[in-house]
Amino acid sequence: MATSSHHQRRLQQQPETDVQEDARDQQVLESLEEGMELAPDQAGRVGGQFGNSALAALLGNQVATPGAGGVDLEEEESVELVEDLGEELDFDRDLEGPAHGGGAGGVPVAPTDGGGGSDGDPWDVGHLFGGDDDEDDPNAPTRTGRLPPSPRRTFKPPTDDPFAEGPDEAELTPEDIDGIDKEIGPTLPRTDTPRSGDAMYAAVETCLTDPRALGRRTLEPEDLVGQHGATDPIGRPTQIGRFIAASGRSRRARTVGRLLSGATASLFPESGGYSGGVARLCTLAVCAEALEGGGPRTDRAVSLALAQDAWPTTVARARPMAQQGRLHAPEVLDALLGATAPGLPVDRLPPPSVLGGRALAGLLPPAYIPEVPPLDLDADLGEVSDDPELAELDAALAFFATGRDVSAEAPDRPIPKTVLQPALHAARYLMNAAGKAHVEVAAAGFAVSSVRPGAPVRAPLEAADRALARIARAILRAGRKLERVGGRPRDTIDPAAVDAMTDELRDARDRLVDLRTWAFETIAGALDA
Amino acid sequence: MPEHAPDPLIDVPVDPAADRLDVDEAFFDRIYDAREVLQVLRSRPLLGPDRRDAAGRIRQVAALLQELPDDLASADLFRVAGDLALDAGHGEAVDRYLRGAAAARRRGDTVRERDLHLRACRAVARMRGPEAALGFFRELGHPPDEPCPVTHALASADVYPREARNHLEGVLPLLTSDDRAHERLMALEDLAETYLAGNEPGLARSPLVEAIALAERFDDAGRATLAHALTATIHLTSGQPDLAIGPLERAFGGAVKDEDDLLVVTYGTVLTGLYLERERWEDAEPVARRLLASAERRGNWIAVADGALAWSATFVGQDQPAAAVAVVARTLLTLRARGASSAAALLHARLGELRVLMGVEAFDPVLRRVMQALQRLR
Repeated sequence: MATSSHHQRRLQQQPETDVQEDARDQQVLESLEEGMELAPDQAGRVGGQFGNSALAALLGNQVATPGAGGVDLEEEESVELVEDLGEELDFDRDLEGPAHGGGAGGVPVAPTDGGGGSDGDPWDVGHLFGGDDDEDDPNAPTRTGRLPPSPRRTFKPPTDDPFAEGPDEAELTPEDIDGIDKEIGPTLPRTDTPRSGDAMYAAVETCLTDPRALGRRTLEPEDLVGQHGATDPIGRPTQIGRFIAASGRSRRARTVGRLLSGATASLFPESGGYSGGVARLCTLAVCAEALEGGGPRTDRAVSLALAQDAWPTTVARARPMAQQGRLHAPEVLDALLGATAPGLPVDRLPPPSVLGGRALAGLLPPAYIPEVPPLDLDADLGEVSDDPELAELDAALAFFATGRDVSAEAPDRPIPKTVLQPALHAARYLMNAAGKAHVEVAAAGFAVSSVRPGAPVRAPLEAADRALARIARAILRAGRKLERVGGRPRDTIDPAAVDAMTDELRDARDRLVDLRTWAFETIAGALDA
Repeated sequence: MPEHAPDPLIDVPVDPAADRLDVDEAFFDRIYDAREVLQVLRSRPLLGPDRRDAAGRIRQVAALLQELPDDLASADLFRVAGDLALDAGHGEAVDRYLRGAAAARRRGDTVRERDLHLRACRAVARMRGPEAALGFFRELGHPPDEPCPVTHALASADVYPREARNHLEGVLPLLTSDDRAHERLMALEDLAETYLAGNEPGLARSPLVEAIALAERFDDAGRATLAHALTATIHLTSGQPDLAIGPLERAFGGAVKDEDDLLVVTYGTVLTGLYLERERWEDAEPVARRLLASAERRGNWIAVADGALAWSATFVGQDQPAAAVAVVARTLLTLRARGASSAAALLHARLGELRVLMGVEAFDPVLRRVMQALQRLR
């Protein structure tokens, strides 16, 4: 059997104690039947095989959820979920083979992105709800909604590259600045003096510390190209402009943001030098913030929009935790910070920050949270004319043209899986989105902590963690019900019941969308605590 | 106890001269005056002098409504106050519209109530994003014989940004009356932004031209600055900076006329950049000096450095490097004294650039002389 051989391979890679435990868990999984109970320690270990905290949390209060009292899932239902998920995910690993299914140290890994190897997305639930059909579907997106990566080629740079970058001769030399310092002294960093007026908008100032980096001996057009990064004197104000143009509330601010992000070349006259152009960009960045209004709150939200390392750092940290079945947003954040993140009860946090929420959303890759399509249980039938003679003629033509037997389309015909597939696909993507949301909110917390160390971000993460568990449970429940419809006689299924199942999925989707927005805005609000 | 937070514009105290029990000539005068003012608010757009006077008028009517409550008048007053806040991008708009809707409901005026609810939806979508308004908007529904077609279309444009273009193009022919001119102006600006967001800057120009004409018809140069600035932005981002100078000059002029220092700094810095690029030193200098003064009043030290750099660039262009060094050095010392180190770093860098430009032999003695002169001035 493929399943058992896969587990044998996995067991061989594990340390001996892990092997024994894992084998015991596998026995538990295989012997589980509906109505059986799962001991808490078993549940915790089994959760680890899922590679997804949302799924692990489905085990309810049997699995320790950091900072949470667990979820109120009935034990009977937990066991069913464990059984189904265990089978589905084990089957996925068999399909993927050892190259993608085995992690370091023999720890079972999360299903990956098809070709990503151990770099797969930590939240991916693999072939849940019949995703194995995707291999035959050229139009189906990958499990994460992204195109699969193209094969990597190794590229050796030529050793005598004529375009290789040498020292930048246009940079100001230390002597250029030292000569000034001799006369007027060095420019010292700002002390912690209180700010007032537009000086409170200080997000842009991070790139204005070193006079040497703010001037150039000559101003060439190419000096304006490829200037990126949160500490670059052109890149930072431009990024601020881009953020305000996209997310600002004030139309005047958006206009300035658009100008700032799209008209850099026009703002660098030669007579003003490089420093003059940088001053113009930075002035516009401050003005865009001031036009947006909101004082320090706006400034902090803008700083948040520039914390662009948060997402890749968090994904890298979340991956091994997913492999251990510990993909909980608060835990991921703790691991990133190297300590327990500080927290305040949610109701004692400052008001949510809308702009900060948008800044956080902008730091993350676009979310794929699909709409749940309506299902037509008779979608496998062709259109039948009201005229019996025409209908008979159509049937005869269809038989000759396609070889399809109309008699097979009887009222008691089994419902094919393809009819349900659109909703099942949506359920699987929703499950992925719920798992991904754990990493997203952890990244949000990390970004906030990087802008303001010590910000009390833990409470909203804990609340989101619990809510995500409930959402994932609802998706899984509705998906399983839908799956059971497949293959049953058409005349035994009431379309209204199927509509109720898709409505459950839609409801879970809406809750997920709302939860993400709430979490981002509330976490961003912690900046102002 | 009111359930809402007090609104500084609406929840004003009753006229101190008012006496609840005294129905005298002064009482009737107050009623008469407030009714006249409310009529002005209802019928005249929030543009030009009426925009500038609106806050005072609203307070006057609100004071009387504290003394003599009238739900119908309150509903209209809240609508005007909400429009004023929405135009300025202030969050109070939502609260004002909802309080107005509550007043209309007490009065049993379902059309006014719906109109105000739709406006509240629009305000929520603008302030908090379309998703936040979607639930409420769906609850309001869209009956076939929509009693508020214009407001519904405007709200739809904000709640469904992907369909905004269709809604706005469809509603503009209906927004013709003068009493809704300020809404038409906003819709034109919205449409221009929608075209820009769709990467169709060519289409955006036409609604902007109309917006400018509308603002000028109501003598509102300040309100026209935004359309001028958007026009300039289109030219600049599409690589036609020469065409941007005219609209920017008008935007800068409007900001100066309105004495809006923030906008003076914003448009002034771009304008000086364009003047300097075209070696129009005489035009650049007064704008740079005005920019310096406005930036200092705003406490925007980076803009102060920017203004000083632009001013000094006019001297560089006219072959007066010593004057350029003097402007930069003096501003640098001033900014250091204020603790504005980031702005000072920009000027420090510029001095380094000027040293390279002039040569060490020429630059160092000039800087030394400038420093001596500045110390004597102290």
